[in-house]
Parts: sequence; C-alpha cells; structure tokens
Amino acid sequence: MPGVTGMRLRTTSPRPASELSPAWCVALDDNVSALAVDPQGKLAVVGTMSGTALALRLDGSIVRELPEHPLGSSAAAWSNDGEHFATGGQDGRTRLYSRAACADPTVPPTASIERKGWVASLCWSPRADHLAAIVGKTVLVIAVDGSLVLEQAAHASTLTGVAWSVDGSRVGVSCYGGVTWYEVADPAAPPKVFAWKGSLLSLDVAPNGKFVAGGCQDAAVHVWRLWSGDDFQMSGYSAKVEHVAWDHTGRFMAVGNVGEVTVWDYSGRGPQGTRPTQLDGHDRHVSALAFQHRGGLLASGGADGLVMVWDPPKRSAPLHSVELSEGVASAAWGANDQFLLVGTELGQVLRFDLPT
Amino acid sequence: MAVTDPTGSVKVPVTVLTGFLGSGKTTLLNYILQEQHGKRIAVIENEFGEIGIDDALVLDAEEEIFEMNNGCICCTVRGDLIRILGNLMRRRDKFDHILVETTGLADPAPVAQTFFVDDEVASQLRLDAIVAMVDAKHVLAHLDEVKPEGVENEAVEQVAFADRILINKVDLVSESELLAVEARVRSINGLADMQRTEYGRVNLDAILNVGAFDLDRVIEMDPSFLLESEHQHDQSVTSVGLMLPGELDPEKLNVWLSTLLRTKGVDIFRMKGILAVAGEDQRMVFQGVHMLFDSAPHKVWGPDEVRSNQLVFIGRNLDRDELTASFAACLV
Repeated sequence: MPGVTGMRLRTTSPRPASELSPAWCVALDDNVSALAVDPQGKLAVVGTMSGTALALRLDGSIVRELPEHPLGSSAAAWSNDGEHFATGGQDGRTRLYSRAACADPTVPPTASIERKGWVASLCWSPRADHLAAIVGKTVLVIAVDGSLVLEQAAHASTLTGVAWSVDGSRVGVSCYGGVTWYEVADPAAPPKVFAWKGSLLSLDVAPNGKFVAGGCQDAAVHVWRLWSGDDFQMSGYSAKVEHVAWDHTGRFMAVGNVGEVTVWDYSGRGPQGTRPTQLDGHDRHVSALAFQHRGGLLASGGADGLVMVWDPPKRSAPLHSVELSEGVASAAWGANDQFLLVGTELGQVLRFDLPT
Repeated sequence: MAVTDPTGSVKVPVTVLTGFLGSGKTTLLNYILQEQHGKRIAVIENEFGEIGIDDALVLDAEEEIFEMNNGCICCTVRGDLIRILGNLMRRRDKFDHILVETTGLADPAPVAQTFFVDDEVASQLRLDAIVAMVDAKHVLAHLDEVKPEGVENEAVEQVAFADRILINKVDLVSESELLAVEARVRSINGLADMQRTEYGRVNLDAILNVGAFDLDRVIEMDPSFLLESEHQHDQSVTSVGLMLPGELDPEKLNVWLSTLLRTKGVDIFRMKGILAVAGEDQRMVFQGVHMLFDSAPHKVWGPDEVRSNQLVFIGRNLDRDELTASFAACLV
C-alpha cells in the first residue's frame, strides 16, 4: 500500500453496496476508447478503437455518425459550456465541432488538424474558449473559431498529458522529463518547466489551482505546487499510475492502480506524511476514475468489469457497484452528477442512474 | 504452446527483429508476412522501409528510451513500445503475433526490459524471442569496428542479446568466410541458435513461437561447450558457461547473485541458469536481462540424479575465473 506506513485505513464494517442496473445499453463495434458527456445534459460523444465516432442522445439513440478516425478514436471532450466538442484519433487528427454539428450532418468541423503521432488527449480551457490537443510530440491550442493559436513541437518525447491552469492562461503538457507550461496569450514567451527525470503518464490540475499531479511509469504520482514548482511524490504503488482524479474542491486526489483506488487528503498541511484512504474492491487495473462535477462521489471502473461508486473518505466500501461481463474502458459522470456513462472493452456503452 | 495469464487469456507473442541497416530485416519481415498469410500480424517499425504489406497493420514508432527510477541504473525501457503495444491490445480483434523491427543502431536491452518492467505489457504479451539478422559479408567489419570510449558497438550488442541469429546473404561469401563469421558470432553469443539464410528465407518455426524467454525452455540449454574460453579475438563481449556439481546454499546464492547484479549488471546482457538449491526438491530455473530476472521452480530432481548447477552469462568483460570461484563459494 502506498504511503508512509503499511497500515490499512479501515472504516467500520462496510454495508453491502447496492447493485446498479443499466438504464440502457448500446453495442458499438469496438473498445469504447473515447467518451465525453455534454455539460448541457442532453448528449454524449463516443469513439471506438475501430475508428467509429458518434454523437448519442442520453437515451441511447444515435444522433449523428461523426467522421471516423482511421486506426482508432482515442479522445473526445466537450467544452464546459457545452457549445463545442472535439474528437481525436490515432490518425493524428483533431476535429473541433460546434454543438450544432451534433444534430446536423451537414455542419462540418470548425477545425480539422492532423499532426504526426496520435491524439493522446484533448482538454478544453476552463473558459471554454480554447481546446488543447496533444498529438505525438506536439501540443496544439485551437480557438473555438477553428484558428490555431499555439503550436509547440519541441518536446523530447511523446506527450502524455495536458491540463490548463485554472485561470486558463497556461496550458501544461507532460512527457518523459517533466511538465512544460506555455502562455497561451504569448506563445513566444519562454515556457515554465517543472523538470523531473521520469516518465509521466497523465496530468491533472487540482480545481483549486494549487497543485498539478502526474501519474508515473515508476508506479508513483508526482505532484508539483503551483507555481512554486516545489514537488513531492506518492510512491509504493504496485504498477504504473495512469489515472489521477481530483474532486471539485481540490481537497481529495484519487489514484487508480492495480486492484486498488487510494484517496489522498490535501487539507491542513497536505498529504505528505499521511496515509491515503484505501478503497478495495477491484482485482485488476483501474481503467477509469472520475469524481462528480459538484459532489463528492467517486466512480471507478476496472479491467475486471467492476463499476463502483465510492464516498471517500467516509467509507472504504463502495456505495454502489455492478459487475459487467467485460472490462471497463472509459467512464464519465452526467452533467447532473446523477448518472454514469460507461464504455467497455468490447464496445458497449451503458448508462447507470444512481438510486434516488 | 499457449501461455496464459491468470484470467485465462492467451498472451500474444512478440518477436523482436534486430540487425544493421542492409542486413535484410525488411526482406525477412516481408517473407514472414507472406508465409504467415491469413494470420493477424501487427508490425511495429522504427524506420519506414520500403514495405508493401497487405494484411498486416504497420505502425511507425520513434524509439523513446526511458530510464526507470527503480534504483537500477541500467533499467531502461522503450516508452514508445509501451504505448503502442498497450493500444494494440485494446482492440477487440486481437493479433496472432506482433513483430517489432528495431533500427539498425538500436540497443536491444530496453526492448527486452520493457517486457519485464511494464505490467500492462507483461500481462497481455510475451516476448517470444530476439532475432538478430547479420549480413555475412559485412558483419565482421561491423563487429570489429572500434568505437570511441564509452560508445557501444551496436552490432556486438545485437548479436550478444539474440536468441536466434540469422546469417543472411550467404550467397555473397565463400564457405571459409562463412565459417569465420559463424565462429566469431558464436564466440560472442554461445547460446543463440544460428542459421544460414538467403534472401531472408528461413524455416519460420525456428524463429517464431520459440518461447526463448519462457523459463520452461531454460531447462533445455546446454552450456557444456561454453566451459572453455577460446580467445581468438581480443573481444570484450563473450559467453561464459559454468557447470558445478553439488547443492547451493540459498542464502549464499542470494547474496552472490544480488551482489553480482548490483555490481556487474550493466555488463551482463543475458543470463540463464538451472540451479540445485539445498532443501528444494525442484530445479530452480532463471533467466534475465541485465539486472532484471524471472525465476521459478521447475522439474523435480530424480531420486538418483546427481544434483548440479548450470549457468550461462553473455556480457562484457566477464572474468571466467572470478565467476567460477565466487559461484563455487555458494555451495553448501
């Protein structure tokens, strides 16, 4: 177990979790590798490893087949206001659309930009005015009108994570060797670099703007304080860390790993020297992890097919769970925080409503 | 042979092709794809050759070598392979075989170590074998090339790391030249299976699905011809085989092996062993790359069998006498 000591934090005898049942299920052609839910609460965009990209209504009906990404869809994201969305693929192409394109197949993408490599991640700015895309060693920032406002390709290795500062002024990218922050309004300004000799696999900024965390190939999470660059690390995980999620307040940071989720508390003097809450239940690697947009519940999905909803740090047992017949590939909360959309390894998209 | 993970799914074999530019790797690759027609094969290339492939998925990858922060100075992995292999395995239709073609100048160690270090890769894929292609006409010149201090001779490394060595373009050299090439290659790597080929045509059973990294295969090794050093060349990379009757003290063995790997791990490219540990009914087999290794109990010793130990190291500046003496000191 990660942390300073080997002791496990346990709450009192866990009550059995209530079983979630799907409201509907749609079968697609392959692993649901991209999934994003509309912040306006009506639509979702999903993509598969076979390259399919679709817009769905939240009753499971298909609104529009979007242009494919040959070799596979790899990312999808909605802007916070729900007015724009984007898809990315292993073809190296990023497509940005206006909301109107969801329902009307004659509306073309606002931007369609291809670069060498594949689109590893897409991230909208907090003000919903810019999309950041990482493609191979290149980071692109595209405005909602489709114009390319920043392009930086001088990275030593393939980019793995992208995140915005909470004020939307900087975009950060992670790769082997650290995190590089660019000023979006002044792309020529020298970037701010948090150097670290290790392979970062993800990048997530705490919603309170105080920290940025990167999952590591070295079975650890590396964290920097913004903007002093002081850093610390949570180590001792059993495998590489690909999924880190912050709750909306920035107080809790959840980490997914093989067979476990841990939750670190950043209140008071911070997590250093403390033990995380350990959420046991998965028995294979955790492949999806997300906190509610405005609530404190945490959803996790695993290669073991388990979807679980937790209420950390109060309980170490899940509130709700369901075991699917195939591994979970992706998961996201609905805009109202009352349902989960889950994508599986063999191509199902399922909606689970929280019991009221 | 099926190797399964705990969930019961079969691991997909990965063959790594190394060899200098011009040695015939691309020709071999095309030959494999043609002969394996109907199988789902993915090819990961680090340099785009002129290659026309119908059935296979060909992916381009730029070599990205990452050092791991695990306290092991020679532990490097290929970040690009971790990503690409991980992505391939996410597809619903799985591949029958994956081929990784490295650049002519690639160090095979990070490729092999990727399969030891990355959980996701190790849980779904198995490194089947490292196949080195050498050009009969030019390989001696490449092996003899003197590099500046601290720079590796990649041709020597590729030969040293290989499980299978294909001596290609045998039609371009005389029999005596071939014998000299084979002797030289053998002096570096005493364990690999060696074959002569023309135009990359080889019996594919000899290079695909051979399970060279399976502990089950370690038991088949025969180090008996590696017991003597033959110093025809002033070369630093060699194979050393040790055979030692008797039983090993587990604690002494542990201290010896961990000290050896800590101090000499950088110089030990490959190692394999079959050991008789005191108090154990079964043979202990192990195999490793630099400081990383796998081990498992294997075949039970027969009641009348004489217990003995076999070890092979392939590496740089190996001191046979020193290894023999320190290993012998581990006996009960």
